[in-house]
Amino acid sequence: MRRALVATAALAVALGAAAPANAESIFVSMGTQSFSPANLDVLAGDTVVWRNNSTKTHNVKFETEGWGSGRVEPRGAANHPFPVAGVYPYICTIHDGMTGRLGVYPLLLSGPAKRVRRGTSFALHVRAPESAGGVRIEADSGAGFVPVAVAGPAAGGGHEGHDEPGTVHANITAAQTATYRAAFAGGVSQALRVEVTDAPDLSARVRRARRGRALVKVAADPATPGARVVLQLKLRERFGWWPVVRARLDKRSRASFTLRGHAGAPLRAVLVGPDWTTPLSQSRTLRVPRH
Amino acid sequence: MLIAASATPAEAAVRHVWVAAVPASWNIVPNGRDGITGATFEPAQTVFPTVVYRRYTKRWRRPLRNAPVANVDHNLIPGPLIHARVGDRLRIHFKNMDRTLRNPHSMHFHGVSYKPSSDGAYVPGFSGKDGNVRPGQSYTYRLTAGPDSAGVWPYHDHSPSMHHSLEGGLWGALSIRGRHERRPDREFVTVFAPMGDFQTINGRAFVGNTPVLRARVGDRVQWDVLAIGSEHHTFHVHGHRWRTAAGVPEDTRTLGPAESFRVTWREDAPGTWLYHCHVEQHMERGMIGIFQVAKR
Repeated sequence: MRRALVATAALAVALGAAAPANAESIFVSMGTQSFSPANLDVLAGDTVVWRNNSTKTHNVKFETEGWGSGRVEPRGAANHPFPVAGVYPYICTIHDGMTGRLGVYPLLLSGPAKRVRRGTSFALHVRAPESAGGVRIEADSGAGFVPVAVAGPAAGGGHEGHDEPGTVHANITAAQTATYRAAFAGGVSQALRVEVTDAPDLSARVRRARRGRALVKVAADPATPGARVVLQLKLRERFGWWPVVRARLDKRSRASFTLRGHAGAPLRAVLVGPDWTTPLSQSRTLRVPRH
Repeated sequence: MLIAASATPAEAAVRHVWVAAVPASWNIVPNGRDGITGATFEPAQTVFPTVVYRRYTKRWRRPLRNAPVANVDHNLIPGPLIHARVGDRLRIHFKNMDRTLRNPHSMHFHGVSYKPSSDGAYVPGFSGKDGNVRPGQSYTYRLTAGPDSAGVWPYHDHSPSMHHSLEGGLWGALSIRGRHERRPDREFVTVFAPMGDFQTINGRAFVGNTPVLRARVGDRVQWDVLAIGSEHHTFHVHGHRWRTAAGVPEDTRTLGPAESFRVTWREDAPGTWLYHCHVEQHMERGMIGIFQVAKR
């Protein structure tokens, strides 16, 4: 571990790779036989830190870039800066099949983690070198990338935690599913797919019912009779949201559910696809009433 | 294993069970995450169409639950837990309702006595309809729980579709008690089986998705542990020990493909505990769950 860190520092000095002011350290976890995330995109100049969270000794070896971490013992770590854009596959030479991919880009794009409803607005955020000017957003809906917006500082000095220096933003109106990228004179970011959906909004109400039960009523707007709805509870012993009951919306685009127990648990209704799992839209979170 | 005398010895019985192979959409990770590492999964990685065994009322008139409902898909994997006592005869009425994939299926039972016509295994040129029940058709397997049948045993598809079916969860368990053996207060079925990229317990992967098992201090707890697939597993429960037939205490036991055993204890350890396969790569891919013991 110590040797790996010394070697890394020496290499950085030798290359004269001064980190940009807004460079970040990005962490990758080493599991028993896998890197997590195995596929990571970073901004040129960022430092990647591999932390060994397993009980096995691992290493990191880049075939094209040449750098190797040396042995990384359990609870140890190794880091390396990546000043040059490119795609770098890497492996652990000790464990067959333990592979990773690092994408280094001159701009780094982030956006909505979930589908967005057609006609609504969503934000794209671009991490960029501080010297970068004229960052534009390009979209590809099937006919190639075309400019759709210019990214700039967020109004009011910030945008949901993205107010750090070197980050610019753009608001996009969701018209159709597209692949987005950020571009400037120094190159382009990685591609980011944003799915646009026509799924209706789902509303839910809950009230106490007889014998300690709760009655949940769900409705979709615009009306979508026959749509599939799953009721989920957030339960400690289930380590997250757990589907407890399901139904199809009736002719009036409504459904009602009766729940027993779980007083105080967070509750939500989710409109799902034909597999009864893929979420299309969801209600706000309510709580199962206490009696 | 402790076997306590029952106050009222039961008479040998003929038990009729109605089961069908039905299509289902199965989600290996309903909460979408590994609660320990925080890794998340998309439905495209965890949901797949399959065929499962489901319990029915007489003459397959109405579907029943295989287990108490705790999930939208009724926890149909494993198939219904079939109970019997030594000396009982079992009539398993099976219907193939696989209307989507339209594959043949069957039921093949371990641990019980039967004639070759109830073996449920497909052997070209030798076996009959029992090993190759086509969609829309039915077959009755005639089984006997003999003196050496006490214990827990797997049953599974052994038709030409067997290898595909086993990875899809077309299996279940027989739980056979001695003639005068007392019933436990809690009986937990845990089937260790690979599914695609995951290692599952009862077709689910990762804590919270795998069965959340509950008992109270003082309960007599019985675990029915089975393995399906081509790998070995090591069954381990935190905070508990049991004794082998030779009286040796242990907290981990190995089982290979189609092997099965029962573990029994009087519960005395309140808290939330882990149970899992101790093959690390299996544990990392989901073969782990929680066991909650309440104070009495």
